[in-house]
Amino acid sequence: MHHNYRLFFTNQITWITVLALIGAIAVDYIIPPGLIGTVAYIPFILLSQYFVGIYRSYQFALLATLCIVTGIVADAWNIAEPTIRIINQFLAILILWMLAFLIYRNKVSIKKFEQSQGHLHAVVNHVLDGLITINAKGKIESFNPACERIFGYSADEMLGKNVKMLMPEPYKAQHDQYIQNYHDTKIGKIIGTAGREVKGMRKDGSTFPIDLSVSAFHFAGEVHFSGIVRDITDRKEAEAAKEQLRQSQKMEALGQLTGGVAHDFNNLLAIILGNLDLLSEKLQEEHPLQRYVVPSIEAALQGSELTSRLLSFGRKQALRPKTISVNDLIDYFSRWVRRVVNERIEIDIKLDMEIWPISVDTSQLQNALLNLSVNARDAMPNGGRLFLETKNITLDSSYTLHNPEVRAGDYVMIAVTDTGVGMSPDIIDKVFDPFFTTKAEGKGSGLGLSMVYGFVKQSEGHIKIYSEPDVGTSIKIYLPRAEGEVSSFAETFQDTSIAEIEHGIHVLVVEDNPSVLQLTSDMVESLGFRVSVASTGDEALKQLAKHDDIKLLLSDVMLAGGLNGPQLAKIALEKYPHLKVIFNSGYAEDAMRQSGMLEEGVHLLGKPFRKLQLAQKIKEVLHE
Amino acid sequence: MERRLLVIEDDPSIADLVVEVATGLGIKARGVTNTAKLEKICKDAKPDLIVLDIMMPERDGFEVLTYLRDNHPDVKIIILSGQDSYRDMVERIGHSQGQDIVATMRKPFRVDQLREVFAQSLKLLGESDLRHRA
Repeated sequence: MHHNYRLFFTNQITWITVLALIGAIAVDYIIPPGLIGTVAYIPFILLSQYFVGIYRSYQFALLATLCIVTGIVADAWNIAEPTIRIINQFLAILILWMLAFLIYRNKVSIKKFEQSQGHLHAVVNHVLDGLITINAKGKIESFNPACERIFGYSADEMLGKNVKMLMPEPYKAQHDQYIQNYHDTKIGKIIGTAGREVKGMRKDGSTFPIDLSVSAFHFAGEVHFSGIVRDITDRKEAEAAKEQLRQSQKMEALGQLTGGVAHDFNNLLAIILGNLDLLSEKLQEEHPLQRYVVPSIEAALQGSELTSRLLSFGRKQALRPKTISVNDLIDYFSRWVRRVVNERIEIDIKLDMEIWPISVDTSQLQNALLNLSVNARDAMPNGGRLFLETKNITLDSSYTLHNPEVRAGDYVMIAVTDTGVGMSPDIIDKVFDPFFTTKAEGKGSGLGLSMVYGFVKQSEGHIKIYSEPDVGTSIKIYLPRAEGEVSSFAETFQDTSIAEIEHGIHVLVVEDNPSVLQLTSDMVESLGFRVSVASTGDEALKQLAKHDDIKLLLSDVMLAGGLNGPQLAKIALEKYPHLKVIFNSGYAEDAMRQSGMLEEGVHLLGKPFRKLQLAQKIKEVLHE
Repeated sequence: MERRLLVIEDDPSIADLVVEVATGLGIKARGVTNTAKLEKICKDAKPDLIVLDIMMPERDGFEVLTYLRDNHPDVKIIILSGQDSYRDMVERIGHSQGQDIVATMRKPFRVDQLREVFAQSLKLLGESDLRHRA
């Protein structure tokens, strides 16, 4: 090993040997007939260095001593004077043993050095964490095998290269500045701190999370830095899986809670609503106290609509699954989507032609997709692209490892992807929570995605959301592959009875209670209509003037602030004779007809109405 | 012919409400909030029609349904449920077992809807009477 030679030449032994030689020659002149015989032993002792074993020099010295004592060499040189001969021999032996001692000590220190060196080397080579040292300019000086494994580069490739190569942006761009700052201020942002999470970049360009500790040290008068790199991909994945599990447990608990609360609430609402109905009947039609009863009925109905949404999040809605090809459904559904989104949004549909069948409640799935499409639209106020995609996917154990709530198996994936504003991770965590909304006050109920989530889970599926701010959002629904014959398209969609409605018709919804307005317009929109809203009669007339394509007016009978429903309809019909009108009210129909509020032949939809009832009523009115 | 209605519902307020609406239609109705003595009550009251809540503390609606199917097969049943999924389940079970479930109603319901359901039930009872006589 080159270290040994270096050590040898920088060692004092060499110099002592040289001095001893000079000394011996000098003594030879002073004390003739000289020590030249002894000098001959010196190279012999020095030779012992190159034999393995730390005591070798002593053995050599012993041999030399014996030779000197027996006078073999001295005789050869024919030194006769006995006193000089004894002194010479004594001095020679002393010098040789000193030399032997020095060689011994040298060997011991070399051995110690080799041991510690080897130990350090073994540690550096076998440590699981990557170890890199760089110089003051960032050039790599050492790169251990763990680094080779972590980054995919060999040490030979990396030595002398700038360490920036191992960093993705923005770390890469900032690195020179980091080092410069440290040189200027001696205060490091990462340097000197124990562990900081940053990103590394492998040879193949992929990035991964690392835990990095950097320290500065001085060597040969220059600053160097050493970095310990730990690949924390596995830890992060485990954390993510744990988080996923926590999230799904949270949703499970929330679902149970809301489901339970909703059930109790429905009982209370049944008492409230039933008694209010009876009270309303007992009071005469025009009784002044009616004005206290009617809003209470409205509120109870609103509560009922809310509980029904909560129940669907709590996975307690009635599902009627059918075995279908999801491609048929998307194909059919896409016509609605085109009307729900505006013309600035381009729709791309990519269907897997070999798609497996699934068993699913088709109308709920359409609802879910519509919900996602409306969200996608709202995420792209300036236009963009909406992708609808179907695909067969087998989720294997490596997927379920990171998503512990999922069962491995064959799934059909339905993805709704937009190129919209996207979401940050902390928002993604909450999007499925009931009542969480990022939309403006009164614009969203916060239950849309919760209902989608509840529906997918109740269908034994899985839902996953991917989003990146300013890039877009992709929501993937995985539904388990089903066996059996696929129902024909017509058979599947006929009984949703909404199927035959002309979608895309512009509907004006008028309702003075903002929450009810939201609920109703959501429902109308989910049927595939375009919706405008108004909260007063006057506002409704303005909307009618603004949009000449409104075909249908869906108005509450009782409206606050001026015109009531029938008055609004009367004015509107004078101006727009082709307009169709449906009233809805919490009042009993008979009571209203008797009181003359409603003329014969007008359409009334009693509250609470279900989507199907609304769809049927709209169909009836439009086909009149 | 006066019809007899039994309302099996653990919440007395809802039971009272249903009884009142039924009475208004000329049905002889009584409510039970406890299913413990159901057998005796059914024997005494001889109902033609039962309004049955599904979620009850002692015996839930499914058990009651099983009892009725075995012991009072002619009685017509109206199911009350706070949850769609239960309603759905009961409907499926009920139909598959041949139990005569006239209607299932989700809470909260409107009084008008309840009247409608009673009217339908009375009509069905009349028809089955005719069949029995024939």
